[in-house]
Amino acid sequence: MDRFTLFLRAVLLCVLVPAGTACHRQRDSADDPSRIHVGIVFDIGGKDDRSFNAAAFAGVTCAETGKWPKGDTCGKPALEIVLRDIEPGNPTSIEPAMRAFAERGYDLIIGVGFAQAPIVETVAKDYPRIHFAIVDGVSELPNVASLIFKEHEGSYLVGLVAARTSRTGIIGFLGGMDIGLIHRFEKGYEEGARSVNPNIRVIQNYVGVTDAAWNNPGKGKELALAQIGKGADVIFTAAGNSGLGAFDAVEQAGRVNGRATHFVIGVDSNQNMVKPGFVLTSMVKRVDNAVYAIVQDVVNGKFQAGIHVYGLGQDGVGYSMDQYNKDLMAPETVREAEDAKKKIIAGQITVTDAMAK
Amino acid sequence: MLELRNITKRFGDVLANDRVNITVQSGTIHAIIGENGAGKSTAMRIAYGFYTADSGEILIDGTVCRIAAPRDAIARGIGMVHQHFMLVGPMTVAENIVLGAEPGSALALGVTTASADIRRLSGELGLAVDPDAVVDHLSVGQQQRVELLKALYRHAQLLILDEPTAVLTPREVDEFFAILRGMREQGKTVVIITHKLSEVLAISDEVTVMRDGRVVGRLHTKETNAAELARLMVDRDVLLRVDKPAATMLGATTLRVRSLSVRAHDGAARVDRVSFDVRAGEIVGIAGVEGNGQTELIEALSGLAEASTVSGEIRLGDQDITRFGARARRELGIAHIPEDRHRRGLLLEFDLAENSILGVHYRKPAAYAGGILLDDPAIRRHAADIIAAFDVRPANVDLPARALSGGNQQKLIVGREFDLRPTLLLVAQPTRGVDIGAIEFIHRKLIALRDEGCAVLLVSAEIEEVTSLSDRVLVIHRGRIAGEVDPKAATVDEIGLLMTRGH
Amino acid sequence: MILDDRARSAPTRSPFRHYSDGLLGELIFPLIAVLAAFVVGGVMVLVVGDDPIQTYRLLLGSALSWPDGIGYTLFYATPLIFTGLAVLVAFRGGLLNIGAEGQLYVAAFATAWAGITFANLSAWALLPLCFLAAILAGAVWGAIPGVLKARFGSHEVITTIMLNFVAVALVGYFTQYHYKAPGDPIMQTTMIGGGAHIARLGRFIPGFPERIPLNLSFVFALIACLLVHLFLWRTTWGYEIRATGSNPQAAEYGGISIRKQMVLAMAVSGALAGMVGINEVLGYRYRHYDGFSANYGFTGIAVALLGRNHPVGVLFAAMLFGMMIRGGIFVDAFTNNVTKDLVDVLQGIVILFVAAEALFRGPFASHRLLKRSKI
Repeated sequence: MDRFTLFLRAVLLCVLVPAGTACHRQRDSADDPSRIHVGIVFDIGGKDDRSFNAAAFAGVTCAETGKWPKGDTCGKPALEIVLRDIEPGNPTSIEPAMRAFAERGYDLIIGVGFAQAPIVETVAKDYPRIHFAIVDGVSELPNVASLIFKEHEGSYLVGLVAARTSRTGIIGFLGGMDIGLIHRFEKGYEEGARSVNPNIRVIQNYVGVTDAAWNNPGKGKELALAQIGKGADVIFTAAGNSGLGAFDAVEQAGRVNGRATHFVIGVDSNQNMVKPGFVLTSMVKRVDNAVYAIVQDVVNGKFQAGIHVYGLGQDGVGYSMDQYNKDLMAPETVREAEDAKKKIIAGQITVTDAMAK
Repeated sequence: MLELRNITKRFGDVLANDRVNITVQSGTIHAIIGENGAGKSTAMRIAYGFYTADSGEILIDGTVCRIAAPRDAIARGIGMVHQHFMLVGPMTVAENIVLGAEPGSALALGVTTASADIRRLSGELGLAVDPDAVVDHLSVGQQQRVELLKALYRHAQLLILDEPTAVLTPREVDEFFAILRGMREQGKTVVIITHKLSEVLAISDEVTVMRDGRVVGRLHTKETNAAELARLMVDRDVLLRVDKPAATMLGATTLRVRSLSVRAHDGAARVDRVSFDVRAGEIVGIAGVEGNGQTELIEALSGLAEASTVSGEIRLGDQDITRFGARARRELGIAHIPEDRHRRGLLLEFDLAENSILGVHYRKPAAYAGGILLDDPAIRRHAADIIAAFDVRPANVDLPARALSGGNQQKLIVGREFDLRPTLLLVAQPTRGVDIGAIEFIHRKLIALRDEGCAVLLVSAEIEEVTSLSDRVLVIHRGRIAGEVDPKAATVDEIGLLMTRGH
Repeated sequence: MILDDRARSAPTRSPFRHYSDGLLGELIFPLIAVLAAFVVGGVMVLVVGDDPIQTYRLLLGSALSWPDGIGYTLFYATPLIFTGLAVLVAFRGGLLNIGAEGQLYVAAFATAWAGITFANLSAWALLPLCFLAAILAGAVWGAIPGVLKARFGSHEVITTIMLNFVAVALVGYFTQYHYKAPGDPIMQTTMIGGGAHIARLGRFIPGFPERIPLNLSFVFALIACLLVHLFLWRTTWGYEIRATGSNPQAAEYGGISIRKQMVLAMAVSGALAGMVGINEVLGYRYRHYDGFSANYGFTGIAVALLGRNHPVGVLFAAMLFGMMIRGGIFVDAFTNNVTKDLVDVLQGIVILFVAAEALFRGPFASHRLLKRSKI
């Protein structure tokens, strides 16, 4: 092997002389063992999915640098960690990716997405002294923190907003893969809507039953158009990439007197700026907050295994308000939503969790 | 124009060229003749830069040149047309010609400007090639002209042609020779590699004869004749006509064909209600211009034709075998030496041992354990026996069939088929592309087989071959038997008339 | 090179004699291709701002470390050996099997089905049953395009690609609606019976932890290499398949039914692809996991190509690809800018160079290539 690298060095040297660049190794110097090492394994979607994985990436980046990936400050202190990430690309690589960090003795390994839950369990068993965290999944092992979100609570609020905004009395729900997790969104949404309009009709559709359901904007648009055809004028998407089809659908429905006739509600990340004027709000899932918090726990030596629930109270879910949608929601609707939020936090309103057994 | 001096080239243990000296005079047609494997192609490939010589030098117009690659040769005005064309089928003539010699930077640009040049070149020589035609749509003869144009387009002053007539019909050969003469008149030099004596005499000005990697004769064509050239080539007097005793042990009728028709997919009858018998101990020749149904007839008799295209009756002895497949017919003792040994007869990538069992691979001695496992030692012995009995060279059962010369490939096939101890042998074009030594060998073997009581049906495009080998000759014309002639009594002209006119 | 060999008459028969050229000739181009890919890849690493030497040290070091590196490299190589062999057998028969992906999905599901349905049987009965399910399902799924080609002349490239979609959809349907544990958000079947588990190699090798999923399937893959070799070169069936692939008209002349060979070659090919299910289901996950295949079927084509369509070559090519998959994860994780895409690029370049081998071979090969393009 030495001879091989030698040869390679020689070959590369020849190629490189014209390029004349120096090797930048800004981060490797930070690989010192005194720091806390954090490894994160993304879902198949990869860290640039502008949604769920992106939020997780934002959280760890914030923990590492005190900034969002784009470069502006995230409002929290940098935690002096060494951060490495892997985008496995296929399901067979997830376990080895996680083991790659474990083999190197990382302090915290974060798995993103419910599909990684069984893998985190397997690996965590082999490395009981390493801390693990699983986003959206549950494990009972003593070295695994399960980061769970009360999506139904956030969905309740946007359901309320949808029902207040709808003029037809018909609203839509577009789910990605037909699984329990998404039923939780649907149920909360419906309950929120009925809390202000008991007669409201909720049309629900799912894109599919396989992984591909997250990544089929064409079908998402078709289903959204069908819902519009049945009279729905606000559509809540919980369908990953497929949801972007619904954004196209409401844009296609057009505007009257400068105001959109149909609206979409985004999910996971703040998607208000995707189609400004057509996005009523987004049900944000603050994966970044949750991830930052668990990193902070490890840095401070306060890591706790078990279930960490992020609901409205922990600022783990919510609905987004910014310059893109401040004119779309009536002030009284916002007031009503804020009111409901306080009641949920206070326990005066209980939203049904479709996944609770 | 071109001179090779003391060229020596060795491939492993084989001395392909041994101090070869060849001088080609400017403005002549120079033939290089020799048996397969005599080293003539090697010498010319060295001149073209395909191979580099181990020693010796190449002179062009009197100066020593280093030709390390074909592009060096092209730069010095040497072009070569190979036996197998190097054309891209789906592209046009002009695109093919421009490919690799683009005058402009972009291919498309080059093609349009080249088109005119090609048209002019083609007109000057009477080639009648349309630059915009797609190569796949051209006949083989026209494709060869495209190859010529390709070389001329790159300003070749000397053209090397490797076995140019092997793929042409007799008519096309005549046209092709006219083109070569036209080129000579324009001052170009032509080197033609061949093993056909008649062509040498018809077209060349000078001849270089090669044998076993050495030059054994330099002659002016006018001052020599076929017999002398043949003797130089094989180093002995060759029997161009076969001496054979008349069929003596004429037996029962082995093959009986009645009203046999073979239809092409378009419904046209390629073989049209043909009836004849072949008896044990005789050779029946089928003479005819190629493409008159001989191929289809043999395929129908050997069981290779699609069953739905065949009608009529074929009987072997008492048995109706019309519906039998190829394997069943082989098992009844029908052997078949196909007309195209590369297409049908051999697995070129397979070694000689594996080729020696094609058709009998599933039974003893090749296979054991119920015909499932191959018995490698037995196969190798089997192959070695055939190789020894039929003088296949080199005698190495591990060589791929591709590595053998045409004559040796044919001897391997003949050996394999004879080894079946057939009751009926179907043999088509047995000596096509085979050197003279092998021709003689195969002819003698065929007669020996006949004398052992085998029925032989022989198809050949060479009238000479048919009449000298056969005991009876049937002339086929447009899929029908136009007549039967006695090969001892009939003249070539008589047979030729039947072949071309059908009566 | 060809003439070179003509002259050299080997008195003894080496196991590599079936290569058309000498052993060196067979090895040199894959090696050049791999080396060239690494050089080009190194330049790309440099362009994105990392150190190529460090990156390759990381790649190779992580792929060859003991025990995890070696273990995972061989674990990744296992399915690729099977699919490489599958593509090889079809290719030797003159067929391009693009459908190994579909065949292995169907087979993996069938394996899981057998393991779930007969979960209560003892290992002695259950294991052979699961094996049979994998091999049979693959063979049947592979034979379909063979039959279609023999019967109707449909081109196997089209039909195998189409059947890939059918396989994925069909298996997805059964997994989702019939064999999933109720409430499980993950697209996977329930677990197979314990009797159907294949031992991991950690059980036999001291110092080799059992958490590494390398299992007896790897040994089966090695045996499969040997069996494929014997099948192709030591049986009449293999002879007939190769004859059909080499020259169908000559095969026909030799009394071989080329239609039968198409079906046989595709069935054997499918069966080999199906054995991926043994590794995946019986040796690794103990269930069918939807979407488990990291394009094993398609990578198998590259493996067969790089392995020059010989079982020994396939073995080494699969190990090389296994190394790259394993090393790619580490490169992705522990370099600043290089992602696992580097490995995809390396694979792509290797294939490109192998396919473009004719460029190196000189006029003879390019001539053959042109001839081929006329067909």
